[in-house]
Amino acid sequence: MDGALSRSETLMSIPEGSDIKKNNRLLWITGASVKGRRHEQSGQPCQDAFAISGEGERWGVAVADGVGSATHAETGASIAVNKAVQSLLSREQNCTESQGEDLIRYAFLQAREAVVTEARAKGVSPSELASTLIVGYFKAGKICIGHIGDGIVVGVKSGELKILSSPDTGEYANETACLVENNWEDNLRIIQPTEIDQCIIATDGCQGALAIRKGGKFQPYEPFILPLLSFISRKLGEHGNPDSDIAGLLASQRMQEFSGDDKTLVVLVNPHHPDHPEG
Amino acid sequence: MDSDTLEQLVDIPYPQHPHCATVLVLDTSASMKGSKIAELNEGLKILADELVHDDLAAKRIDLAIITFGRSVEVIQPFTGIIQFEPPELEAGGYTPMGAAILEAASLIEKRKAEYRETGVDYYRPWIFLITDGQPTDMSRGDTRWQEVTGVIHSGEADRKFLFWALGVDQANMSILRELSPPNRTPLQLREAQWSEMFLWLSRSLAKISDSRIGEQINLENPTGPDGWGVVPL
Repeated sequence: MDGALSRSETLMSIPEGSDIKKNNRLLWITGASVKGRRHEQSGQPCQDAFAISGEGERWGVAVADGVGSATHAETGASIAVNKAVQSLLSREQNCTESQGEDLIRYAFLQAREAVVTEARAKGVSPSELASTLIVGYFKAGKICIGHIGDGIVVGVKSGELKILSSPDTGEYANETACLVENNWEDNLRIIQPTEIDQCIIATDGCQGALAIRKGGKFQPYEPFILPLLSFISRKLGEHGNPDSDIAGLLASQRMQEFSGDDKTLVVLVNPHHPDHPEG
Repeated sequence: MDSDTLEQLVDIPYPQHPHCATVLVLDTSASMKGSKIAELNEGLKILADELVHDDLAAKRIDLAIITFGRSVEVIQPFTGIIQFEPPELEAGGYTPMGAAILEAASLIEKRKAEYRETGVDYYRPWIFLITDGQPTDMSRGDTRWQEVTGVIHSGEADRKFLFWALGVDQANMSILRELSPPNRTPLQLREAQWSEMFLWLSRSLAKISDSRIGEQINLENPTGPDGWGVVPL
């Protein structure tokens, strides 16, 4: 997997000097996963995972949240994100915009198969490796997204914030769709390629900070998002590494009090947009 | 900006807690007079006291109380635990259990509609029925019986709510078994275990209000050697 970076530990961050930030000026990606207070207290591992892979102008990002009741949730989440980004880039050559949906569907299919295969190897039900999954494929200034379950994707274009993909939680708060379910295709939502300057992909531990509900609809929460993106863009512009800043925010007392869940937040910054210091 | 951390720069919204609508459907018929109604009132105080000290439950549980005796009355519309003041119930009248159950199911649907309207996330609601007798407003097989059992069984099957029946003293457990969803055996209170039952209820609600996505809720088994309940054979 070229340029692949997977994250499955507490306070994960992209290593300093990675290709993503130093050499590739077509897209910057920064992010972190942090174990939630709930798992800290119970001694369980962080069940969130994210992976990034790509080169040049094409990048795949995947974020997953292992389901709390699954005994191998962290394994399922990790396999899902790694296989998803790997599949995106192995398949894609000169993918046209209209083929973006097929590509995303393929990544989900491969990720699911890899998780089910692992479950078989472990002799357990695939539900023991259940997770949500968000996959983003970025190319030429546009991102195509596939999404099963909760978590959220917020995009920014010309200063305007937009929820690109909302959490799908089912009717009740403690339920969500998962990758390993038999009807996963019914639950897969695909967002067609959308131009972005910046994009945030996050698991449900962060989603309440990124969006609030008004009249039953999710709306981006600007007082959280705008300072976050401004800080990250500026730090990246100064050749700094914001990974530890994001990890610090997610692990902060305020965020941990906000939600006891594991938290993953990944930010994509297109350095060529007009507002960016290097744009 | 060098001195500012991200935590200092961003505004984190007030957390929107998912709510759990819970309806207690309580028998206040004449047969509850005396120590039983006193125990029930005391149990409600225990429940309120326990839940108010549980941080999450206090924020997430919305409690309503329906009594059935002289009439079917929503004696406590849905309220948060912090605002909840245990009522002083009085016993008297017959046992219009069927109408009370229908009222509970209707109350829950209205509450869910309110949650959806205001954008509040919610858990699957719970109905707890506590009785010491048997319904006087329906008999096996009559129209009301069909309606009530239909509402309970389809409500469970369609995942609209979870229904628990708790019988005390001379409760007709055979009736309660037929009313209950096929997979949920009604529980019978052991003598003088009222406070333990309400402690179990508060712990169960606390557990539900702290449940995460995909979690199976394993409530404590109240029928063990130290539990408050028995499963009637």
